[in-house]
Amino acid sequence: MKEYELIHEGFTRFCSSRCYGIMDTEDLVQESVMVAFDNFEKMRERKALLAYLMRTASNILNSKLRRRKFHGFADEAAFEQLKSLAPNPEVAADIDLLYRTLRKLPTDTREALELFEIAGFSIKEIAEMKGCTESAMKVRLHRGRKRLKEELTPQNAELTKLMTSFFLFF
Amino acid sequence: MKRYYDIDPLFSQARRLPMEVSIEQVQGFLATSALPAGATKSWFYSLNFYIMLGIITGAIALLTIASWSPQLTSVKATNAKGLALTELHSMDVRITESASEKTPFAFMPTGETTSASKRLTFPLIPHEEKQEVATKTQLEGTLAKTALETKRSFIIDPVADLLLMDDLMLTDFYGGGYSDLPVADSDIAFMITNDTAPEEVARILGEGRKTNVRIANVKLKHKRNGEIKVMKIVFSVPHADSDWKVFRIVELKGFKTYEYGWTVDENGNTIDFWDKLNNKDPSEVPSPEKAFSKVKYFCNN
Repeated sequence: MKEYELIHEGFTRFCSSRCYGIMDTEDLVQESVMVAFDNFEKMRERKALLAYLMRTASNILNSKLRRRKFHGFADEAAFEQLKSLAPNPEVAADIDLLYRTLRKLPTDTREALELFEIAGFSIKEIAEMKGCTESAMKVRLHRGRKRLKEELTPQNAELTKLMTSFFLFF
Repeated sequence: MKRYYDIDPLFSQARRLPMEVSIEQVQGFLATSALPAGATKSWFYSLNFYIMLGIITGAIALLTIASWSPQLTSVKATNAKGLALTELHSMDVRITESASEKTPFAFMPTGETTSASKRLTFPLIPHEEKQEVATKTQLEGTLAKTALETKRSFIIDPVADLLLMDDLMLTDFYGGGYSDLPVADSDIAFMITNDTAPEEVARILGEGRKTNVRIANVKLKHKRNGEIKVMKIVFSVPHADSDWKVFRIVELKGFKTYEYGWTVDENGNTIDFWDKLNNKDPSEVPSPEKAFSKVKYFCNN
């Protein structure tokens, strides 16, 4: 439990972002922690707990998504839940937009952003967890941020494109 | 629509959002539903437990059955009617090394057996003790035990009490010591092995003429194809002082059936031929040598 306490906050925030519109955060955390605790003795290193939890949570979510393939996302219910937590509806709307936009990113990129930007883990920790170098993780984060920004500002991108065309015309 | 040129505020808001699950909640549900950290699931609830339980139970059951029915783990020990002799396998057996193992055919002195690795391994009954132990049941019992111990099969002929093992050694197990005992007081003891020469058989007959008549139903099992032939060999010596003897061979059970005999004098000269079943011309009846060769053929095949 001591090992888990250290990573509880980051893991919970990661779960909140990952399971938005798919299932309750509490359920995901519970299921993941239960599985991890059942197999705690099998883990080679206690440091692997976080990676194990992440992987378990991802597997549970993938399993849920496969089952709910034709039911779509329960964004409205999730948003209501978010509103109850957020200080005001505007913040809730912002976070809702963020979570839904993150969903559009590739899984690796999305996970990297969630772990770094939302869960608050360091690049070194994430790189160890994902089995890559820190520089590779930095590149992934950079590209993820860029992509996320593009996804969040579609009109802006369109306007820039139009302006570029206009200037090129003259 | 609100436009974001910097996504940091968004992430910042997400980070500041209160956690949906507190550490106390996790501790709470772990305390109520999960096992303590590091604990493993009870062995009782795992599938492996039931698999192991099944294996152990099966093994115990097999061992129990095997202990009740020795024939399941051993070779067949049956009499000619196919009846299991397992209930007799606890009879006392006296097995000693053969005194004349290399003898092509051996008459077994009192108390000795023929056996070693290839030979018959059942005890002969000393003449003096014959009345005590030479009942058929007891003999079958000893044979059954011998079969179990040596893992070899016996076929016990109910009529003539002849025994055949897989090395095709025949013997009359009522036979006591032949050479050392007064033959007039004992049944003939003979044995035809797969390398018994006709002359030797003739010699047996020459000796046996002083004894009682013996009839031997012999089952010969082919070593390779498992075919079973039944041969009846009759040694007939009407009187101990007679100077003639009759030898007949009858083949049965799906094979050429004939019965023929001849009478020879004590020097081995043929006195008479006869063919009981087919009334053949005596000239067509094989000579004793041929007949013995036939015995040898069956033994060899």
